[in-house]
Amino acid sequence: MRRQVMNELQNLTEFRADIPDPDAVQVQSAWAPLSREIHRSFPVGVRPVRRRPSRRVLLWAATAAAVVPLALSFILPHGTPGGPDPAAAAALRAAAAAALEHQPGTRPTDGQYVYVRTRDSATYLYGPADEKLTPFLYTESGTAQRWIGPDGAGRLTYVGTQVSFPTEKDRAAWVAAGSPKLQSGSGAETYRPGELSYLDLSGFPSDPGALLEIIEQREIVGGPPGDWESFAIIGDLLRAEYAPPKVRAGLYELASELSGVEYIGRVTDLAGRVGTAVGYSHNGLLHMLIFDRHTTELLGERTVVVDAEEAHLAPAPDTILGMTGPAGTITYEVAYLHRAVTDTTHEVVGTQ
Amino acid sequence: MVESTDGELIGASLEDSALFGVVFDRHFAAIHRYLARRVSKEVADDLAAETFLIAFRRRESFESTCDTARPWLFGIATNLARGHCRSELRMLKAYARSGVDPVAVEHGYQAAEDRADASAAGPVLASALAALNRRDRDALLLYVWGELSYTEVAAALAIPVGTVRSRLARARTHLREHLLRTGQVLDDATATHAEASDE
Repeated sequence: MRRQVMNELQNLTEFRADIPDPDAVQVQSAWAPLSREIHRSFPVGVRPVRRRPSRRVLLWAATAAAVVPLALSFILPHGTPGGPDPAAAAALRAAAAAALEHQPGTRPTDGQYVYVRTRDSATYLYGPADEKLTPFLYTESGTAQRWIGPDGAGRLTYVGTQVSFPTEKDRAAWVAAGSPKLQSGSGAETYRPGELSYLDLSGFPSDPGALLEIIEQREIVGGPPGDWESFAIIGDLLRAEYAPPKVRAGLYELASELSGVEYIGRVTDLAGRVGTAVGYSHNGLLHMLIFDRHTTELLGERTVVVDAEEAHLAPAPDTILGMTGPAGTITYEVAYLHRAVTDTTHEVVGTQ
Repeated sequence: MVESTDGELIGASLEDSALFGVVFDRHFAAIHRYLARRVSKEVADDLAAETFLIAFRRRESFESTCDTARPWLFGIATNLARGHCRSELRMLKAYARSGVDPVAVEHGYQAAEDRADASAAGPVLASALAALNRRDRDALLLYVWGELSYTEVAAALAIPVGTVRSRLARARTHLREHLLRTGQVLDDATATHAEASDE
């Protein structure tokens, strides 16, 4: 028998040490019954009003990723009116603390590019030109790549991969409308310096108060002030080309202080990764930010219809509307697959 | 920047139950992995989910001054795993006998040579674990796989710290004897150091 030097505890530590962490499906399977129990447990009087998803949405959910039913169960407002949702605040503070434990990533120099590869999926409502025909929903998926340099030069590519219909009824309505072409197709474009937006947060403060001041002064984007606008801008900043961990920590901390931010819980993103999601409801839509609680990187984003009337369901003839659909419809979803610094606008990183 | 403790979150979850999701987020992977090393994959899935359901239902009993819920959750998981003790022993004995770990095979490791613990120590340890009495094995695996301290193991099993010490000492002695009997050689310097730094 092979003889080796060892200690019994060391050996026991290594015993079955290669058993992997639970995957996304296992986490979701465990989370689903707990989330149902959590929602059942709201005390009488503060129980949230459930918005029952339509049969169409439920049918769609059955064919979509395992997360969709979970997402439906979580489009319920359960935050504290007028104050931060404690669960969202706790999750965001945890992300802020975790961000501080990370070292800054590579910052691109002149002549280099920040490469980001994404997968996205958008659902549209199509109103046929003939008003007698039924409007239908369709979903378009694709993969995008972008290389953006600090000087604003770069290249964007998009490959449309799939058009699908939430239900057979939608497909039938599309056929009845003459099967109009729906896919926007694929393309690649190169941009000169200054033509693309490059956001470098290395000069930003990490203090949440100072960040809020910048946001409220709308030095970054315009739009109506208020917590929704701040939440949207925080999302913009978290997906910046370069954001040092301490600034990211400040952004998560600031988000934890906003009224109206809801804790969504664990969701599986478009790439099948499990992340923690928080969201904000605005104009009938719930906008989610999905982040990895360990790396604190933004994994993806998702927009779900929570109020179809507010989200303007009815399309005019011969129009295509985005960001709408019955309650529960995921109108837009993006997963950030790879991020790296490259030397050219043709260097591809990662295989997913 | 101060992160909420598990105690604060669980206490606050009595008013806002959604807060319990953060506790799940923090500890699910560790609890699942601990269980997956003890029982079959399918059973581990069920027990890990059940652990958090039970914890949620009993959250009123959790002491909100506790910083971490790890011992509490590992205790619930261990209690649940006891219901599958026979299956755990069967798989350990099969590993000891055949050199192929059924638990690892379930996770997709088809060949023993692919395993990190596929040295001669793997089957020997499986045999040693199977020969331990259940209480000693629980204490040992909470300490080593659960990475709990003596005090936390005591809290998880609801026993005095002194009892944890004696159970761990007995389990370690048994393991060492078993390894030595089967031709494994212990590095005394390493072992001494490990013992000194255990607490």
